[in-house]
Amino acid sequence: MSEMCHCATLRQARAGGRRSGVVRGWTGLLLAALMALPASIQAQQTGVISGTVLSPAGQPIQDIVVELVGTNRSTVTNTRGQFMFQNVPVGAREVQVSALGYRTSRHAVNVTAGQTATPTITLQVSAVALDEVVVTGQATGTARREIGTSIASVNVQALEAAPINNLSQLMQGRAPGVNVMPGGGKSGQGSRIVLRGAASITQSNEPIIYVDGIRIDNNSSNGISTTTAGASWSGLDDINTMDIERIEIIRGASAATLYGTEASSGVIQIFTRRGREGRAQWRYSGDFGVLTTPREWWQVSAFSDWFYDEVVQTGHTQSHQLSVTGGGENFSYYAALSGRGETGILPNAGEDAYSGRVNLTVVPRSDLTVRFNSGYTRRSVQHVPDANNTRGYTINGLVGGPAGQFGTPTLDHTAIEAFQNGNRFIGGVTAEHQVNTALSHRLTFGADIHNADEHQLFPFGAINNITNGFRSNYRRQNQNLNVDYAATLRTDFTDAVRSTSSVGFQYFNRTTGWSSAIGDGFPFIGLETVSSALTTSGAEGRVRERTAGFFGEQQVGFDNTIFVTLGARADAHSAFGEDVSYQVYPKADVSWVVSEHGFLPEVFSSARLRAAWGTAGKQPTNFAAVRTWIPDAAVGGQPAVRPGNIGNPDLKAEVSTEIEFGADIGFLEDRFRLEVTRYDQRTKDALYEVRYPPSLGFLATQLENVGEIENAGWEVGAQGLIAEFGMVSWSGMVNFSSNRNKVVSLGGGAPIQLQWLQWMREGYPVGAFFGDHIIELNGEVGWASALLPRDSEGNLPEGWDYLGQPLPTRQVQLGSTFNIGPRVAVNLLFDHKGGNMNHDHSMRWLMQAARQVTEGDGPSQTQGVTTAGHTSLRCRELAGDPVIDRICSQGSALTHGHFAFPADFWRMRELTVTYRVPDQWVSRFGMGGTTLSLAGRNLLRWTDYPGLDPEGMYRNDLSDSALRAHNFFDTPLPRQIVFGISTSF
Amino acid sequence: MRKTIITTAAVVLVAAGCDLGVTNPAQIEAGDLQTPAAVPAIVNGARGSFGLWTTINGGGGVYTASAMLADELTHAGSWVPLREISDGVPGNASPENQSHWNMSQARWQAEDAAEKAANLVANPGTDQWVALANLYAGFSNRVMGELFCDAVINGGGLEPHTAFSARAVEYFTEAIQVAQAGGHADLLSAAYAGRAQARMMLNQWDQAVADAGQVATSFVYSHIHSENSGNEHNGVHNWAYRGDNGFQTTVWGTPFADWGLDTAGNVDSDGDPRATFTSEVRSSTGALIVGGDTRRPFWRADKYTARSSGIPLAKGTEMRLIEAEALLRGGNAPGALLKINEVRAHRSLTPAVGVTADDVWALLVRERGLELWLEGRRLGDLRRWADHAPARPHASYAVPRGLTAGQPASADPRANVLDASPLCLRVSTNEIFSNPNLNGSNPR
Repeated sequence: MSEMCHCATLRQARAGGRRSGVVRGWTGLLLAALMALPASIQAQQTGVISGTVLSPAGQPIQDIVVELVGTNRSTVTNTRGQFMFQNVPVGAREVQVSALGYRTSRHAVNVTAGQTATPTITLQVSAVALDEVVVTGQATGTARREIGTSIASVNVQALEAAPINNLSQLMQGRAPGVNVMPGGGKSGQGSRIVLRGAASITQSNEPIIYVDGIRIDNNSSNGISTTTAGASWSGLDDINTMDIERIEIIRGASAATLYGTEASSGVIQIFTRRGREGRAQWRYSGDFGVLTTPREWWQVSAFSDWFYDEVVQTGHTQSHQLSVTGGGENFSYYAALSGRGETGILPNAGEDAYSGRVNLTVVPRSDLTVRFNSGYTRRSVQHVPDANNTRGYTINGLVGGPAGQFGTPTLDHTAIEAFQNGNRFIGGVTAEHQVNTALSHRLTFGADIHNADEHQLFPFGAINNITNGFRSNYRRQNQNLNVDYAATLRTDFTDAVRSTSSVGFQYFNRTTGWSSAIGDGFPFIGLETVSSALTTSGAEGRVRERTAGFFGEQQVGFDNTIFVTLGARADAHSAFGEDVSYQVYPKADVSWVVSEHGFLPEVFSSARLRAAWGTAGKQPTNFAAVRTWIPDAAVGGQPAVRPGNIGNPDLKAEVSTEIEFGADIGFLEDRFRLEVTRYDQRTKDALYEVRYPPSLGFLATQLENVGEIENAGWEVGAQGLIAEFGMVSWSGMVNFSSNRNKVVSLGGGAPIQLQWLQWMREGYPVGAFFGDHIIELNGEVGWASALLPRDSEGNLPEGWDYLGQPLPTRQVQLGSTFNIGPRVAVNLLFDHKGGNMNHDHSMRWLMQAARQVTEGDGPSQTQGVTTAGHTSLRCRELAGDPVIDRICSQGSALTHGHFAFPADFWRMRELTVTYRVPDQWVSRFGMGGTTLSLAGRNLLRWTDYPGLDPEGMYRNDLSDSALRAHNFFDTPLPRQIVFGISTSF
Repeated sequence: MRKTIITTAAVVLVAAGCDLGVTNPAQIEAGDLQTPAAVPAIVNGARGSFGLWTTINGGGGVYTASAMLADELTHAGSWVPLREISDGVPGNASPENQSHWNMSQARWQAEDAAEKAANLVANPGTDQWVALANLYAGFSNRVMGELFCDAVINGGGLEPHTAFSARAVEYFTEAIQVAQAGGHADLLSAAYAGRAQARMMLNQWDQAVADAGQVATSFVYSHIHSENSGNEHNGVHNWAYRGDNGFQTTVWGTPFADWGLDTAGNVDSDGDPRATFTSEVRSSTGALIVGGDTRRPFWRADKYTARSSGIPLAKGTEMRLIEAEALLRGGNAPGALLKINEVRAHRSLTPAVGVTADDVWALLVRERGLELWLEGRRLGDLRRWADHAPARPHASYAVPRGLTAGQPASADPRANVLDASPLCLRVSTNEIFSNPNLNGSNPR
């Protein structure tokens, strides 16, 4: 067994003896009750280990895990790279240092009574992390070398100075196969995340999210979407990024089996920071920034200059966080308070967020560790009416100019107020009990409680369309409760053969309630409540659903180089039909650390081959299995019912089966790493909305398990230390991922229209674009359906109207880090997506003939701006192109294919310059570990996309929105420039 | 050790409850409706669906859509499917087109309600809920027979649109029997009037006149609209009035702009108060509001002034006009003129004058238009008249169909309203692709 094996160390640690404890810092008072738990005070002679961890360039490295070998004591380095263990028994001791990006190493320390040992540890860069322990997707913490799947890790602490406002931005470009879709540039606008393409035709393609083992709700609450169309938020962004230590990402079904139903689109697990042993250390981080969009990013309309000058503004951001961490031998704590504020690039847009977190770790007995996690966030987003919305700033301003497009002057729309306020508490407790050296088990209780309060106001007299005003209020309460239990038995059959057996179960309960109140028309000015309106109405809904699953897993390891794992999970779910009692998800994987057999050339310092096969599911929509009628009111508020679902008692989860194989290779003493993964995923019994004839009375489509889709692709990640020139080092990173997906079968059903141009059609990508479009052929310009040659039976060639697909077929990220001496670091990240298309409704609106602004009667008189000629700049600039001329001289329709455009782009996503201030400059103020940073986000973009932004996406709030690629005057993603400071004291 | 694990697991299981039931107090399972107490809700649900699909979903329901395909309203907004209808080229694939065909739900629901009610109530032969359900089954079928190009009933094959009308006659007949036996006078008159309407579409003029004769001129039976909820609104009013829908409809460009009464006084008008509109609607800043397409003038239809304005389903005045048309078809123009003037007298309007049969046909075309404006009847009338050569004087009424790039609305090309292709609402693609009896073949 390798002495580098982190997991082995953990096992030894769990088997260790009782430890004494000393409470330090003010938090000790708060923890006095906890300290009443069993703990003995040692009488033996002890000393102190106070060390420093440095990078190869001599820079202190913070947040490095340091373990005292042979005990269950561990800590992390502070901003100066320092760590400390007190009350260490005298004698020869070892500390083990491990961190992503560095080679795990052990160091001998001689501890003498009453003295302080001060080791300085310089780490060696290692791009390969075979001994890194991952938790997600496993019954227990397991070293990577033992797992046959690829699980991505993001070391968030290394991104402290990066220009990141929320978790969506944090996830962008960090791992191959992770597709973050921002939607637009409005403050508080949420992103959608898709891992490895679309695994479902009808259900959400977003991963399930855990925070410290607690399943959280990522519903994009959309109670007021009619006004804020396209500007929904994401529950993910309630997680304060500065509290996050690392993220683990399962991208496909092969690794998600133990999560069962709901996990076929992957799993993201977020681990928040935990305390460390040592005195209380306070840390402040803050930044100030600006948000801007260059004028040229708005150039789509003859009114763009006016809009830019009169409506677009410079936004401002700031954030502040104060945290403290510390602890003793049998407890540790992390606590933080933070606040963030933003004003957006359009009037009234903004976001404010406040959060607090307390994480405690208590070791009441040497065999028991209990972790308490609690986080609270209050977030308020003021939305801007936007997108497909007659009250939107952008559609009114860019199509209609100052006079607006729908009867109300554009700037009058700033009177509209639309807020989404949310309070979220995420809390849980995890107990890990090491029964003996072989058996351990873990129990987690988690709760995520989210209350949203959303309201919009059209003041009396402000909007011509709604002269008497309007008020709505929508409130949603969601409560997730989860219980996870796992027991693991490790048995060494021989010195070479080891068995790890796990069983466990998971229970999940989601309760959602919502209520809405609408007031229409105020008697006079100044009234702003629903009850003061002339007519009022209300609505309420409540739903409760549950999942329960049991799993078992058996792993056999041979010589610590070959690991074979078999496992299965069985689930029951409340959304299954009455004839379906449970569903089983099996898995198997193999990992082989080839490099430890010694037959590879020396250039391969480490190499691992892996293969995995696994299944995971996605549950049907609630109540889809049941024939229902919907209560209603009719003909003057009288009781009524109308048809709801047709129902299907055989309804079950769709099941994704994935085969994944790949290799992790380290070159030149792990200075370079190459990780290659190939995956092939097939979803059978895909849930497909089968439509029954409307003449049968039930209009809602009925979910049936009839479809089949496939996804396949490559994921390549490479990183390493490229060059060193004296005090300068250059590290690089490349991520590449590809994805091809296809609807294999719709079970004989007819193609289904996802929306407008987008269809589910056998043999084509999920949600592919189809539509007749204007082409030029043999000198003739006209509709493709009219010009393309037909066969002898008069049919057009197959696929004549196929235009492209909504999800990217490729993603590339290029990153570089330049360390210049011990104090300066420059980080650069470029991001690319391509192969996908967007249906751009901005172009559809602007390019149609009706937008031909004339000098006679018509819009020019009411719009007040002289813009004779076409409103669309594309129509003006490309005049003479016969296809463009034709498009610009006719009406437009939602089904016209020539408004779907390739959405390829490159962006300079992040640029960060960090300067580490010499401690002697700030030590007189009691500070240290101080860094200054200047960072930019989205500074540059390269694209041929003709609309406002290739990443703009309308209606992010729909469950299958990841597939809906529409841009409806969605705001461009702004540039952000941030100055930050971080210091400890 | 084993005890520890078992105990822990047991505690957790008990704590979690492991109850996998799913709850939603807002759902009703089908079996819950098998009780007499559910009959009012079942029948009201059918009535609610009728109001929803006739006036709300799909951009003002089939009433607004058919008004634009006919000559009652012109499209002035930005919704492309509505523009296509207004341009005389109705589609069948857009969400709006699907919503129009979803009128099928109202028909199915009313027929289902009639059956359920008859099975659940104690005295189905006299029960007012049974009569009411049959009445709405009749009206739903009558509306579909008048407005849709073809009929598809309960997942069956394609039939002529008059299959709906024939079905309407059956349900109205059942409603008449129950209402008569139960002494429900209003329902009885409404059922006679409805049957007369349906028989008119079937060209069964003698029977239509016989039914019409059972209804007094002053009789009106309206569908109830209400402020209570969005589904209960009068959607024709909403789509005529509310700018947040993008000022989609206008009276501009229609013959009703000539026939009706412009309360703003800008339009040369005969001033018939049955078609009241406003040619000058201004914003709070005083700016003249134009249509949502920024081109066409926004002339607001003011027939329904509130979301709770009821929409007539059957009127005695129409019965007189049915009698007039029957007489006209029988060659009795003077008799027809008398019937027309009976209606005008009832409305306190001056008598109309017509000398020739053509004159009286023109009067009838106009009089039915004004009397039934925005009640979802005009398209059916035009279809009937288009198939009956003497009634083609309507050729002179050219309505805006399309636009010329770069030109103002006043230059929009115009065409005879009867030349729409087709002059009816189409069976939707949802029905075509999901109904195995249609086999995916698009009938138009």
